[in-house]
Amino acid sequence: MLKVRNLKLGYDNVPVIFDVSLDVKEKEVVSIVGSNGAGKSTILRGLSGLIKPMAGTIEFMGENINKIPAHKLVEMGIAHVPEGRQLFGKLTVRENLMMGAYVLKDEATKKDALDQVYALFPRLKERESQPAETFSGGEQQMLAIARGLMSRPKLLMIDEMSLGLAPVLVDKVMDSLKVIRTTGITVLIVEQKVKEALELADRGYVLASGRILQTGTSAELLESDIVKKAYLGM
Amino acid sequence: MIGQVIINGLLNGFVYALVAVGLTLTWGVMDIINFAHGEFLLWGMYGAFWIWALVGLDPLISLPIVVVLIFGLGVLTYLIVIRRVLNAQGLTALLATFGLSMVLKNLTQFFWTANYKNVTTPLVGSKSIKIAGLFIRQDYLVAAVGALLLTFAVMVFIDKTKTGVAIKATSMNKAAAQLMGIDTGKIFAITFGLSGACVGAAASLMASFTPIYPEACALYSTLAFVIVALGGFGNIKGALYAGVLIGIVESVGGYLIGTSFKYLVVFLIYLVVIQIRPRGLFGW
Repeated sequence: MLKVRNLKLGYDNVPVIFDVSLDVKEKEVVSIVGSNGAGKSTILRGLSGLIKPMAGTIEFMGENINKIPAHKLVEMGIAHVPEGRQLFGKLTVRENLMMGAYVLKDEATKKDALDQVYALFPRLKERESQPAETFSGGEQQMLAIARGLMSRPKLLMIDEMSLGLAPVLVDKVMDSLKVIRTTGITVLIVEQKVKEALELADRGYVLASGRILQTGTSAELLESDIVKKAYLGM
Repeated sequence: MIGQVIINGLLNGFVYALVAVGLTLTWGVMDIINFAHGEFLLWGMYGAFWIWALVGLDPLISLPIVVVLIFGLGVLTYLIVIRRVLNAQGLTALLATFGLSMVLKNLTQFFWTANYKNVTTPLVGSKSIKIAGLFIRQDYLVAAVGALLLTFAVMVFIDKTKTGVAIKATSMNKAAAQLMGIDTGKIFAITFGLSGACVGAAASLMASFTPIYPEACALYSTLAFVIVALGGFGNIKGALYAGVLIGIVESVGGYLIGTSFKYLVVFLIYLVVIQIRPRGLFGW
């Protein structure tokens, strides 16, 4: 579904990501793990079109999307839940969700999408007319994921969903992803919490200083020396 | 007598508010301070005048046409000037709109001379009607009611329509809006157009009783800046309240202290408010 080759990304011509190649197949859950500053978020920003590649290619569903603007990629089926939620704070929960459904043309589909995310996160329905900024961190993260799902994406990319959440909430949000994957959506997550992310994912990539250090199934990575030593403190 | 003074100020205030709503939109949504806003108003007035002079349509009737024309002027301004300076550093955007205002004002003089133009046979005349002991000029009343209705229309558009909410979302977080599939370039173009539409409408409402000449916009544009600062940048409701406030202050101040000092009071209030509440009276 997603095929990235020799990708180089950066800001103001200063590269942050060097020569990254990765694949995400349909219905997979793939995780990119690594410490703070490794460049994980930059990769997602490149994949969703917020920044443009300096070199390399990104293919989505067989099409080169290097030059396609971010808003068009949403229509093509890529949803990006950005780091730090980036909700529209003054808008209500419902308005945030409807912005998520911005690319959907038909009212019935929007209603369907809304019912679906409300079923997944009943808390959001209870508080649908409340401004997003009044939510706690965990609720905001749920809203951010729900907003990402509203565009009916084929590929859902979530950046640091555990950031700033209490451990019990991290579990809760991760659990919601397990439900999401049963609906057939392909998921790419980026996480600092290496163990939790790999336990959730089928496969993973370990990123350090803008380069891929290692890749494999989650089980392999959890057993590998690099991951054990550098990230799990074992 | 003071009742009469307040009602006069109130009627002016609604028109000031509509001009300020246009200015606050681009300021709040795009962080662009459009110094050419007053010239948009000016071109709206000339548009209304020439449609009346050439085709015989009263400015109140041709309002939709002028609104569309100045909406177009706004979109063109975005595409040709603003888009290029939106992410530029420092004062670039400010200087660009300042330059644009100079160009538009001088073009006005070049095309249509500095002489006063008047719509001499307005549909609604300057006769007054008497309500509860107060004399209200019909043309002022029509302009004020029209401006109020259009301000509400803009509010409803921003709050209730998909495009309106997308404008708000873009103003809060541009990158997140792009991730929702919102074409933020298009949203900016629409915002600039809408800003123009507001002054286009205000111009049509005023064209029947305002002498039209290249400097006609100066007062309105200065007051619009004051109103936006008082009302809070990007706050439409704030612009309405502040517009009415400024209208009344101007009128009552003129009555109590003397007409030549009325703007002294207006700008004094402005200075005091921004010292105490830099985000304006109704700012976020």
